Amino acid sequence: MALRTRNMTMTTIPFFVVFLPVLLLLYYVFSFSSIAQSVVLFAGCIVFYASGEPSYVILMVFMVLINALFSYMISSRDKASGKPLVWIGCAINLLVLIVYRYMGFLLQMLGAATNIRFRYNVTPPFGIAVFTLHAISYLIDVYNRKAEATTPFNVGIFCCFFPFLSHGPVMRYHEMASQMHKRHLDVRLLVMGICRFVVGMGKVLILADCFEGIADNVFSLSQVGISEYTVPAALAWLGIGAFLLQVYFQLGGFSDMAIGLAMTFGYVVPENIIYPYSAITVTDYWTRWELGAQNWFNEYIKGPLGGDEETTDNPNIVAQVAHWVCFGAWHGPGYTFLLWGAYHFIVLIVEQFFDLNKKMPFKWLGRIYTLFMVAMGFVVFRATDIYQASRYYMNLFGANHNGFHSDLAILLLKENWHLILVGILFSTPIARKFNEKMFKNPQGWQNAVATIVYPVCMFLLLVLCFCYMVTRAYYPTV
Amino acid sequence: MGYLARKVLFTALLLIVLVVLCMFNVMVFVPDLAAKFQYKVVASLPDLRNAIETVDATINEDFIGRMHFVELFSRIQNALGRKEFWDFLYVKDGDGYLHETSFYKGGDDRMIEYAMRLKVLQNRSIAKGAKMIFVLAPSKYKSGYTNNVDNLPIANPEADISQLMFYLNRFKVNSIDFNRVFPNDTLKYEQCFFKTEKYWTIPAALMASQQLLAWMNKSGHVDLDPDGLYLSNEAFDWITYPGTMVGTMGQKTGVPYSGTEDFTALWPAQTRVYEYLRYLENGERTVAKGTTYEILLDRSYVEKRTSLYGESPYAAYHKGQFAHEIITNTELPKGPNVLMIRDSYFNPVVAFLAPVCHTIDSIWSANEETIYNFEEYFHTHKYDYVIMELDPYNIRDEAFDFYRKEAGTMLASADKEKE
Repeated sequence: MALRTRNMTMTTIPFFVVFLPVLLLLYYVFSFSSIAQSVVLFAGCIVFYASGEPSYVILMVFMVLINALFSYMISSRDKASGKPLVWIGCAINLLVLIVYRYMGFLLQMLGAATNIRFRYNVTPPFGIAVFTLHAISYLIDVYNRKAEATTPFNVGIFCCFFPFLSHGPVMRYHEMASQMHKRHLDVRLLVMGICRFVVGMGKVLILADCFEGIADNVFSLSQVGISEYTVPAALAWLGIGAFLLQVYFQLGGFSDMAIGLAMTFGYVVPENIIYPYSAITVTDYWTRWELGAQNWFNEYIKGPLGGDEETTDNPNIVAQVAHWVCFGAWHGPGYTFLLWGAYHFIVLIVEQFFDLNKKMPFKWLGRIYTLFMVAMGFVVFRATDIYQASRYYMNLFGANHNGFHSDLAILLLKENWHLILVGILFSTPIARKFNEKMFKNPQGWQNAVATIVYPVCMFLLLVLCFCYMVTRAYYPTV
Repeated sequence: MGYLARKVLFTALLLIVLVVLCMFNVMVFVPDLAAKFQYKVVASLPDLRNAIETVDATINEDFIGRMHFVELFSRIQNALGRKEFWDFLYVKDGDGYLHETSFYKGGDDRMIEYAMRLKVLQNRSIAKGAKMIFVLAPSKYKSGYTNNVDNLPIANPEADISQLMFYLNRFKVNSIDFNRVFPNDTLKYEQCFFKTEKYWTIPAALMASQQLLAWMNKSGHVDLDPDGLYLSNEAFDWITYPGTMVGTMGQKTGVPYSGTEDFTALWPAQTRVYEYLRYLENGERTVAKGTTYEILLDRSYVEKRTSLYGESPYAAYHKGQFAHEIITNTELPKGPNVLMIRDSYFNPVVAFLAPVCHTIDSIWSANEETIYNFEEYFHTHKYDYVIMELDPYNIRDEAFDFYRKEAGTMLASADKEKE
């Protein structure tokens, strides 16, 4: 039976107007007791989780208890006797991930090989990919003595902290361990967190949703097939450009919301995205994009395979292959994600070979090159299958007898030019640099003006976000 | 200090707004939820899922100032000069008509199948002594009338319409294509369609009802409504309510984007007494008895509207659409029994034809929650007329959910004969 998951996401009215204020209030009311706060926060995670598919709450709680149990057993033994327990604990987590997220794909592959049709229609639990990485990180860090085993409530909070579940950032337990027991509840963190949350919400609701609409329409048209509908090159380029902006503002926005919320609950979380489209090589790009997940795979996959010892002159190919294949597969079940991972592996190896990071002659050229290479990767990432990806590449380069000019592309640009302009502007560090220059002097008049203008602008952004949230959920009746 | 001060100011503002919003909203939706859950027991997982969905929907619906935000969004779209609304949910043509969209619609290669199912339905109807007709409602998009500036991706069902009508003619299935009737000299395009709603107008629905009456009279050799007391133009008070109409499309986009329009209502001068039976999705039934204005029409939807975002005035006719209803005209026991397989285009038509029929058995064919097997139901009931109606945008497999097997066999044997 297929289960539908329709989670209360962080960009809905029930979340923002009811769930969040109530949870924040309870959390701060219980600030006298760290344990009580953990209980409140974990209960909040369960409610958030249950809003999507209540039956999976049982699975979630069960997995939290299993991980807590294993961590206690691991921490109470020496490393040698704890090793099998780490393996078993990680295997259980991976097994759940495979059963719920990858089994359909695996059976599809098996079916293609054996000509047998398997029926497997299970919707994966919300956030299971992030949950699994967090749980594995917890067990390994406890085993490596980088952190101590903690209470089931704290395990639950770390594994299924609701802001992180949908789009990350992925955390490693040792980064959070000290904060699990002692949170930094102060006004500065609360203030920074809330502002960051609202900015993230704006990115997701206003920008990412708009770009998603353009990209979805263009990719759907490309999927129809050339015999029915020809996608001109201009439209294909607009589609992939919109997708670049979509993923940036979606992941960036959700990361901002997650980091912001974590701050309001007293956790300091490292950055996940740092202007990736300003990178001058793809290698540079990967030091700015999905940093949480990158660090996780570096530490727990690449590192143990010898990746730690690699140098520019002596890359560890096995470790890199494993890293990129796992990283690609983690993004979703399907050949396209594996190919996307493999593509980036090849590009990075080539860049390492030519030492492009140091030898890129011009920064502007490097940025164009990086955007192009990243976009080519995202074609296969976004495509539903390899066939669609191949069609899309052909559309991009006019190899489908598809021409260049597109009325639809012009229409889409005319309708969305304002947001595209804002999107391009805010995907570069221009605004940040402007800010730094403008407000260099804390006593300057600029700061005085900003003290009034900033809250007004942020409040307008908040109102705009409400408009988007309400309109999206509004269905008039006949 | 300045850096933090401005953020503190905003945070304080936001927290106050959040707390106030939360308090007021809780005060509104909690009693609403309590009422909704008063007699409900959450005893199983599906119950729990439904309960969560209800809570979610209630919080969204009861959100204080909801329509102000919708209107503000609408104003912003207007100010930006956008012709498409919410990622091409709707587009606005050059004359301000809202349309559904379609970037690409593949040809439906099952038109021949649908036509054959209708043929089987017609054969079965004739075998039971009933006359059958298929009615295609007019589409709002019309080549030559729709002023589509900038080549917006407006959903255009004309190819589907002509293909279906081609097969219906080939299989000799009785049909009326109202796309050929509307607009005409009497009713111009703007009198046939709303700008803010997908349906036809009430005068257009009356004209269609009059044509159906003519068909019933001719095919059944009867003279229903001989004096024109119930279906002639003179049988109604024609009242235009200026600026009261905002259809569901207009409500979704917000009035600043869509605008309002006039609503011409036709209120019958003569009334009848009806018994009304509605089958609910959970198997229960509701029954009622009353006059035309108690059972079929409700003037309050037009005359006592408190908000442009309430139910559309179109709902005044037959009060919306349900999976299965039976309307019995108690004053005309010898009138014809009619089966109407239909969608919401026919809401006013049901109200207009009810006075000249004994019963109207109305089934919404494209409804996903149909509660019984149509073929069995049809087999066990007797009718004088069978009328199937569809909106061209509803031409899809689920709408023709009957005689699939028989139609398939007939098509296969026809193919064999060809070979």
